Amino acid sequence: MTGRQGPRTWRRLAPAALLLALVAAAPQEPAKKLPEYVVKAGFLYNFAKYVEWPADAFEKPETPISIGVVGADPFGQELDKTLKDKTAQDRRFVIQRYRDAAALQRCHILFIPKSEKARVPEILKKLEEWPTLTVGEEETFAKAGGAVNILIEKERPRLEVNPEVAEKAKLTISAKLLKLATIVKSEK
Amino acid sequence: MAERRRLLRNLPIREKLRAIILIISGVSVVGACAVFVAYQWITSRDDQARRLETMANIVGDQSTAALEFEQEPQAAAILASLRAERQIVAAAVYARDGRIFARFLREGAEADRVAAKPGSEGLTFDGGDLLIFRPLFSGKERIGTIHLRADMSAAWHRLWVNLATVAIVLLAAAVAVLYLTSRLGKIISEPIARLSAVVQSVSTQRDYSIRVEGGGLDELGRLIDGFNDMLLQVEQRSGELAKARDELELRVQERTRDLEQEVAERKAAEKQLQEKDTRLTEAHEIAQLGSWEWHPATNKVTWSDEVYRMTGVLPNQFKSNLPETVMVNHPDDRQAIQDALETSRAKREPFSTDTRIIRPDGSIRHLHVQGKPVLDDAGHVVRLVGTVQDITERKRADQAILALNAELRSRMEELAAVNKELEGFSYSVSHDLRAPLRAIGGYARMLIEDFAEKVDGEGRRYLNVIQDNTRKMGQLIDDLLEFSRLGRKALLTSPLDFEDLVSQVRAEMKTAHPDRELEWRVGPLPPAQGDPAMFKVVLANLISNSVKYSRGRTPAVIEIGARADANETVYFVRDNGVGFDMQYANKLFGVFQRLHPAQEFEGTGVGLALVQRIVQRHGGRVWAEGKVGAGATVSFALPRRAAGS
Repeated sequence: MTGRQGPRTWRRLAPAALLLALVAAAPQEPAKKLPEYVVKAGFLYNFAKYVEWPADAFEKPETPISIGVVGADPFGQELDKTLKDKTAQDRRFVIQRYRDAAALQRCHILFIPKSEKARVPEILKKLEEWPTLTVGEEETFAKAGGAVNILIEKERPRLEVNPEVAEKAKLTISAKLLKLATIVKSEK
Repeated sequence: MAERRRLLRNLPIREKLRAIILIISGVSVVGACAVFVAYQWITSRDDQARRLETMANIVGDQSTAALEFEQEPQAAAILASLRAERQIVAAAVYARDGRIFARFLREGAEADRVAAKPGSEGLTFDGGDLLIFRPLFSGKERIGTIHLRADMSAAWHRLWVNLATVAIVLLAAAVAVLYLTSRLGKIISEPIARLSAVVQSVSTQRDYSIRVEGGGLDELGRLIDGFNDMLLQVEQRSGELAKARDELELRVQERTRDLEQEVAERKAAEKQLQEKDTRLTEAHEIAQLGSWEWHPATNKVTWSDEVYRMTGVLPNQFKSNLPETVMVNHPDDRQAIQDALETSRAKREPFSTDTRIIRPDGSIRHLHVQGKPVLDDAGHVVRLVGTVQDITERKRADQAILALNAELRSRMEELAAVNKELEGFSYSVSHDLRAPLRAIGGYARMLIEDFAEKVDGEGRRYLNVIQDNTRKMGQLIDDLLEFSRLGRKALLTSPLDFEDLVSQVRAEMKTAHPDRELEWRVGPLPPAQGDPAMFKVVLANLISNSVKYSRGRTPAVIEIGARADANETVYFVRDNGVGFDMQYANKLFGVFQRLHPAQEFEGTGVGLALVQRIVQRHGGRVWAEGKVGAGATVSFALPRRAAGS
């Protein structure tokens, strides 16, 4: 094919090829290393798109998707920045910050930072009755009964999903997301 | 282009047929193939495009989540699934910021097949490849771009194969057509060639006896039959034509002769006509005859040149209407001419009138104007036409004649008075002369009678001479008196018996000249009307003259006759006497005019004057014919009417 195109095509494409070579020479991967919590804030937003909540999870059609963070907030302003003016499933977002497990209230997605590793069982227990997608960032979170776990390995994000837990919480996780994630089962 | 068309036109029919069939079959095959190939190309391209779009949609949809969650291996795996699609050469997913997130490159393909950055959305061709860029959305948010590159070489290949097939089919068709036309074309071209050859030889040799060999039952066959038939007819016709041409030539000659004669006659007639026309114009000019026309409807008046000449009006000054025409006339005649025209028009009758005109120079001319109305089929007066004649000269002549006549009449009255006076005078003179003459004669006789012895012989002879001369003079006076009396004497008109009168005169002659030997030849003398006494004098004078001048002839022949024609009766008295010289013929009838001396023939010279007087008073005439020494004839003619009435 290229042979039939001949040297003429090459000549025509020469400047483009040169440009390409320059681009290729630049530090290519990752082009821009994003801070970890910027990535995770984006993932929280994305989960809202790939998860279906049961009908009774929202009081009204315009009820926003509430994203909670329990314990010490690792995001700083990043989560607010990411979710500002965003919508998923035609709903806006609200961010709830809970001091501790005792302060927890109903929310649609709850991020449990590494700092709360010791209190994970307590927190999950508290959420048992609610259709809340729990998102963690600690090695054993999914096996311990968390729904979705975001791990960073070799500077690359990796996802773990525990479908069992999600099912129990009456949440439907998109097959596309499931395809990307590592399926994990609860260990007792 | 036109050259080429000419070239095609001049080709033999066989080549033409071949060319036409080649062109038609070539065009149809090429057209069909082109349509087929184009259709296939377009459909296969559209098909490819649709497939590529579908693939981009599916792969894009599948890789959205991987992009969102930055799962590069998964994205790469999804793209790698395109390996099954053989035409896909390269594929890539770009992140929101345009960097390559994941890519797929078929083994053997160069790295640059994958675009470093997302290009413009949609389908594009790049060389033989079909490229697609589609945006990736998560909800409404654009999160990246998917890119596929398909190799179209298969489609191209198919296209080339198709084209090659078409070319082969075309070539095969062309060969087949050439073969078939060379075989089948003969069916058509051969009879035509044969026909053409015959036509050529007919046209060059003018031999109409050649025939084209048989054709079939198709149009060509019929054409050949028709041509043969035509040749036959031409052959016959050319024979007839030659005959007809000969006849025609003969007729043309005859006709030419006729025509020449006709032309000559016509020329003569034309010349005659021209002469007539010239004569008419001349006549008009001489007669000073002009013509005019008046159209009452338009009041337009037309004059001939002669009218302009007569009136002295210049053609460019004449307004050609009736009032202008009337104004030309003398003021006293204007109403009359106007009335004449109007009356002629109203009564439809011709008119004729005299009028005077005043010429621009002030001179007056007399014109005679005649006219008549011209009617149309319905009996309406269309126009009046007529003539004008300048009669000024005639009028002047008439007046001169009248004046002359008046003068003549007064002169005649004068003359008659003078004549009467003269006659009265001559009578009184003659009468008064008689008394002294008688005295002379009486006294001369008394001398002779009473004194004869006292006078000697010489004296007596003298006295006798005196007495003789007084007697002669007495005779002369008597004749003169008779003559003048005749002028005054009233005519007694009664029937005249000339034969009786002649016999009376003959008797007197016999008595007067008893010694003369006279031979009388008296023819029948028709009676007439007149005064018998006077005609006795006429006959006595004429006959006594004849007797007198034939003295010495033995015998003296005296012929008396008459002849009558329609108007008058001529009587004559002829002798064989001394005659006279005709140059003095008119002197014979004068008073006292004599051709012979009194010593030779006695006489007073009054006789013939008397004869003339009498005959003229009866409305007749007298004349004499003669020759010296050969006798004389005196004739008088009386009008038959006067003789009969």
